[in-house]
Amino acid sequence: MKLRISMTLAASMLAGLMATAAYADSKGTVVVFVPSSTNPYIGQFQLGAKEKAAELGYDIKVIENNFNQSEQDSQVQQQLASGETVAGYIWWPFENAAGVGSLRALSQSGAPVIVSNQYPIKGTEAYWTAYAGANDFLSGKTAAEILLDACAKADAKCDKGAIIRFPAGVSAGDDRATGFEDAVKGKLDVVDVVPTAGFLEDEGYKVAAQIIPARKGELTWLYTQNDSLAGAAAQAARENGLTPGKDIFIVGGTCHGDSKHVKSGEIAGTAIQSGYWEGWMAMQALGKFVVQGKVVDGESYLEGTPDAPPSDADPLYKYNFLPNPAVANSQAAYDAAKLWGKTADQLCNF
Amino acid sequence: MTSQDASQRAKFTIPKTAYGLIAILVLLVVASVTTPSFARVDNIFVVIRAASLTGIVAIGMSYITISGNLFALSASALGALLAVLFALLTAAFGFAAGLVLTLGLAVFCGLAQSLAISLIGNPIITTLAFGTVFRGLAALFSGNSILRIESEAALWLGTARPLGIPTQSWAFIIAALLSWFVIRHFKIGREIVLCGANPKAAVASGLRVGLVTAIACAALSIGVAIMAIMTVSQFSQAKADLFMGYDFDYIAAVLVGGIALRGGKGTPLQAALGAVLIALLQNFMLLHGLSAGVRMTIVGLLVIASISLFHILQGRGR
Amino acid sequence: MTSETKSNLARLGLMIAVYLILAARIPSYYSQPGIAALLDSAVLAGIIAIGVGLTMIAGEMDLSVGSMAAFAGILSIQLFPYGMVPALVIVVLFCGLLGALQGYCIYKLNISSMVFTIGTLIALRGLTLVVSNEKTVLIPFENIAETDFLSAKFFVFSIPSATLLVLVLLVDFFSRRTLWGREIFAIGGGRGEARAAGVSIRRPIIVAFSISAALAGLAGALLSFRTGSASPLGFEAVLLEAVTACLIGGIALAGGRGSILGVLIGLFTIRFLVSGIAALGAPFWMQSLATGALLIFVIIAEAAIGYVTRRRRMARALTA
Repeated sequence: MKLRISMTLAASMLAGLMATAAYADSKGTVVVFVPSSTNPYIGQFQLGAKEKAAELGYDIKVIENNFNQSEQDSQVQQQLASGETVAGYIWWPFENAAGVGSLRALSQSGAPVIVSNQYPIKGTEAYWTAYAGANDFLSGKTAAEILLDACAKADAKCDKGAIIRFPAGVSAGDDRATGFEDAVKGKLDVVDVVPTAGFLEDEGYKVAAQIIPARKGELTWLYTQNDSLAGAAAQAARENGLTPGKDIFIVGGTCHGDSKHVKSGEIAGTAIQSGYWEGWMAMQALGKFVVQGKVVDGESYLEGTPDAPPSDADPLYKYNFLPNPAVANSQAAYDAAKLWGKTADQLCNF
Repeated sequence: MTSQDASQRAKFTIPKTAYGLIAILVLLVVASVTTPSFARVDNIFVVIRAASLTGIVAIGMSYITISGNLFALSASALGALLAVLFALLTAAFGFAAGLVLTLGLAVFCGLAQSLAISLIGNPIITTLAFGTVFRGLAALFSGNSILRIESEAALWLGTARPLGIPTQSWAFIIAALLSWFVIRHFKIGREIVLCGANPKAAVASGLRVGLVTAIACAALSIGVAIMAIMTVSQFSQAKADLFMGYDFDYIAAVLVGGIALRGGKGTPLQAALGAVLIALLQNFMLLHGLSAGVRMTIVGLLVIASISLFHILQGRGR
Repeated sequence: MTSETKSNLARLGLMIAVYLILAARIPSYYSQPGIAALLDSAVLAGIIAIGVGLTMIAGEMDLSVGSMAAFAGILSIQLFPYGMVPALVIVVLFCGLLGALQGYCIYKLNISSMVFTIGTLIALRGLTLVVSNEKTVLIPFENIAETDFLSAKFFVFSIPSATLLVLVLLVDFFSRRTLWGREIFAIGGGRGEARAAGVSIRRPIIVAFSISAALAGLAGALLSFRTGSASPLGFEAVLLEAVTACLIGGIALAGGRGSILGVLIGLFTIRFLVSGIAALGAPFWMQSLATGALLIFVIIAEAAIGYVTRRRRMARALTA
């Protein structure tokens, strides 16, 4: 029986290998390095990149690592050694700082390198062509604005609160916390910063269910860095007799797969951070560079227009940031929210 | 060692459980003196809730350990697979069918592993291989997307608090008592202990070694299924990257509970206490605002200290 | 031909088969830079697998290697200002010392190493987070070119991959031809018999764990220097890859059987498979399924061959 299972597996694997082999004539291949699509956000990123690549006429090859920087490093070595001529690289390092060596190696190949998702480290500017992706500082800032807004509207006490952050050592967690703390300085009091063990509801619940009762009456708000953790925190608050949105304000700041707590008003609001559009804009940036041949110094916050995505003819900046349009916490606001022609539901509930 | 003195030894497991209780009591006293918010009754419920799901898996894992099969490295991956399957099945056939089918599939996965263990003779290699397959299948079946379910019954199971106690804690307490009862008072329970104490003698004396391994693997799988179903129910969704990297948490709970890895000793109750002890310590450190690094170091040291202590108390030699 | 040689030849055949199947689809598998990159990709898991393999031969298993490598990575980058060679030497010696201490505790307590090293696995990871202040540490960018020599290729070898191969030969020689090494095999084969034959348990256990930790430290430091950075969360997945390499390479978990050369074969079987599937652009779950299927295939084949040999031996004994 075991044997039959492994044979079926081998057969399905072979079929998979065959399927990846068919390449048509095109403008060249773009190689995308990303962590595993086991994480649905990364699955969306790949989808966006693939659809944009098809539109622009590029082939695309996605090389996944299992959340493992040393594996990703060796994949880069392997790719470079293949001697394959590529149209460019899209680089999403698993561990931003630890991936610098590989980023440098990619840049030395001469092909354009677009960094995405992980805000590049200062001093590495020579190693990449342009950054196109989310801005974690901006995400933290947007969350802070949503929270301050909610506090101002509701006539409730809003001073001390806590940040439930991504696991210790995860740089996106550092950046979002910094963006948030800078924006609330002098207005809110951050009494505690507690890291979770992961990014999903069960881990968020574990932390929230412990600190909320221990600091009951003290905490007036929670910032959780994404909506999965925020939803879990809202659940923990309710179980402790606190009504989210009245007794305690909870904000995640980036939609992350489940919008029910936003629609019900339990979370103070959210912002669309779309994996689909992030992958799409990384691919667009590469296409822009190939056509335009130049990069304008400085930052560009792409406009979060509801209907049409930005034009391929726009100039490419060194830093191109994915917009994080805020969405208010009601069913109506959620239904009305759109980014670049896709609804919040399509972009957030992947 | 003959099977006779193994069973005599098994009678001495109650005091070992008492060591765990004493450790918890000491920690409670120290913690409540130093941390005002700690001693409140509701915080104790919080700690038990935090220990519940890890604890249920640890109880299942203790069957593997007591039966002499060391430990399984596939629990977290199996959890992800079962979570994905439960969400798919519930969406397709409804909650009740989803629940039953998931438990059935869990038992099937457990039996498949036990068959392979019997064939290969090594639980660690087998579960290592099965773990990678389970995680791959979870990703495959989920199609890299978040699977949502809409079921009132599931939501009740995930969030209700009968008599003010979360369902997860009820499940934990019931699982601990039930599995303790099976080990102590059922014939198969005694066989599990005897097989663990001396596998060679077990074969010679006609014990059903294959059946024992099968029961142990099925017990772990059911524990994992309960964790997966509870988690999916609580948040009405499943993802393939759930429970990533949790395997050593379950094993640590078993070890801190003082169950000897060589098998034949201990009760599932100790694994439950181990989970509570770790959760208690984590809670205490969390409320004191210790950094993640310091917390992890201290938990690691607790594991080292408690296994060394239990090892010396139980008499040396492996 | 001994059965050991036969089994190693069979494993070699499997490795070559995996290589050929993938090489048919991936041109870089038979180009000079491609082979160099494949060798390089095996360095981390390879150096660590040698040490883990040695502890497995002793009938033990060191689970703490991933945390040890991360710890060494952080330390080596922090010591970088004192020069790369001194940093490397200090880190490797310090890790070796920690490993010796770990081995001594395991010997003294007479406790299962798989239990003990789960504790150190957790504690060392925590300690790594503490010493790194929970942040990735970097070599200053103006100095990053100083580490380039670690990526330079001589024919198909880089310094790290040459180090791996030399270490395999050295440790293989050590484990089979020296007294200290043979003691490791002896205590793995049967501890009671070894003790009866007057082999001390203490020295081989301490030696095996010390080498395992030192090699984990070396791998962590080398890799961190090569990338110019180290993350406190790094090297978490390497334990499973190293153990898988050992198992496919024919090291028995019960101890006393296998060889370090076999580990090298197992290592490259995995590397060819995993790198190949990734290079084809397949999603990660395919790598995961393929690794699991390969491991299940190897262990089932081993069990089946073992069964047939026993039957045949029994039949021969009966007819004789």
